[in-house]
Amino acid sequence: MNGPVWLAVVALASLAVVGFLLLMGKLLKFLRGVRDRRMIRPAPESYLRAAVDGAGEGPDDPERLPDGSDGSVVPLVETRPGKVLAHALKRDELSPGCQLGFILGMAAFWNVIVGSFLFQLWQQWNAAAAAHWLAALILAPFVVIGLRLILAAVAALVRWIIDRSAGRVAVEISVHPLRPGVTAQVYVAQTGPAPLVGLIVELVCIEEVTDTAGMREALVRETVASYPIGDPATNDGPALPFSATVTVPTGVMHSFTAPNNAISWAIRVRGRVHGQIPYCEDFSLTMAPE
Amino acid sequence: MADEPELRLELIRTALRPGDTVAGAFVIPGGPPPGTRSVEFSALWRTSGQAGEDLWAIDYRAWRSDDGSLAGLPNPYSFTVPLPKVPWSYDGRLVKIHWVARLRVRWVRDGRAYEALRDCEFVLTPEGDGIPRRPPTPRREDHRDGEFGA
Repeated sequence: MNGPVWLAVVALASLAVVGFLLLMGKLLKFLRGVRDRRMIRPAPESYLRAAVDGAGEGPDDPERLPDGSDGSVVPLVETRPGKVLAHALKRDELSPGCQLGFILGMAAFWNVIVGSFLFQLWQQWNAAAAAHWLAALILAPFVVIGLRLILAAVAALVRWIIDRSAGRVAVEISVHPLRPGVTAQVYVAQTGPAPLVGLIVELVCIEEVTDTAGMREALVRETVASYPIGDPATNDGPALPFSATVTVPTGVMHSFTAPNNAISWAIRVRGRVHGQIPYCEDFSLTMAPE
Repeated sequence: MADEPELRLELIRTALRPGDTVAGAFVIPGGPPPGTRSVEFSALWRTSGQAGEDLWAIDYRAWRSDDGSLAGLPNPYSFTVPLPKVPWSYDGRLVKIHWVARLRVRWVRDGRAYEALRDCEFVLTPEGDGIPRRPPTPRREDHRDGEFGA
């Protein structure tokens, strides 16, 4: 069988399988609802209490503050010893190099496969001098996904270049975990070929939820509070290394994490490298209860 | 819902501090309905909003028909539950954390299961003023950081 024809069969079968699975998921959800209306199931509180008693599993974050017991969820963010201050904070996410490697691998894997089908389709098209519209139509969504992956790889590459230019940005703090009302020293330094200008250092609070409203789960993040650290004296902001004092406002919320909801705190470093290219990085910390 | 029983659940105080004790009572006037399988009381925190609900019970008591404990249900029933230090009540933009005392009654009639639920919310903050913690008023430059497929 020629490539595009069996490709069409495979693609159609794949779509049918995906559609079938989605339908089955909906059907199972509906049947579960019917069963729930007819059967008595354990109340969610009952097995969660069992988890407190040690009969089950609770939120599986191994590191908690000592006063976050009883199923509470105040994650203790890990820090390293700093060079200037007591605690060096870690990045909030994977390094741009890791992100680039991952997305490049994904884009290459996907596009090589889709590209081979495209190439066969193109050959068939030329040889037969007839249009294979069905095969082209089936391939179209795979091509769109491939293009999106390429765009994501380009974005990751730009981010990696910016990160390499900025070099290693280190954020250190004198007190950790922070607490509402506490005053701490903050130190920011940079080792990179392109100096950060327009520096803005902030203490930020971020809410993060797993949105389950649609067909798929999506992670939604929003910065809900931002407190400037230091006072930018000029348009280019303070010079690096930067040192300032921050007093955490009283009345702020502590860090919180649960399977679908989280409140996290970080020191956000913003600036520009090479004059205009924006740089932004979050360095996680724990806001403990008072 | 068929003959839903009246559930009364009241708290002595609804503004509490970490480490305080939440105290109150519940009563089912006329007693649990015929066919009752369980009466369950719990004190818990739960989240609400666009995310899936997270929930954690710090106290749970049940009186069931299958183990005979339902016959011994004190009606009215007074309770005191010591509270942990966290999480505080929170009314954020995406994340909301509520503390509640919850009474749940389940019964079966004509082969169908029914359930009645009564929640009584209280606020746990260090101030004990009954106002949940909130993020500051949003500024113009505050923004949603983006959505990523999970």
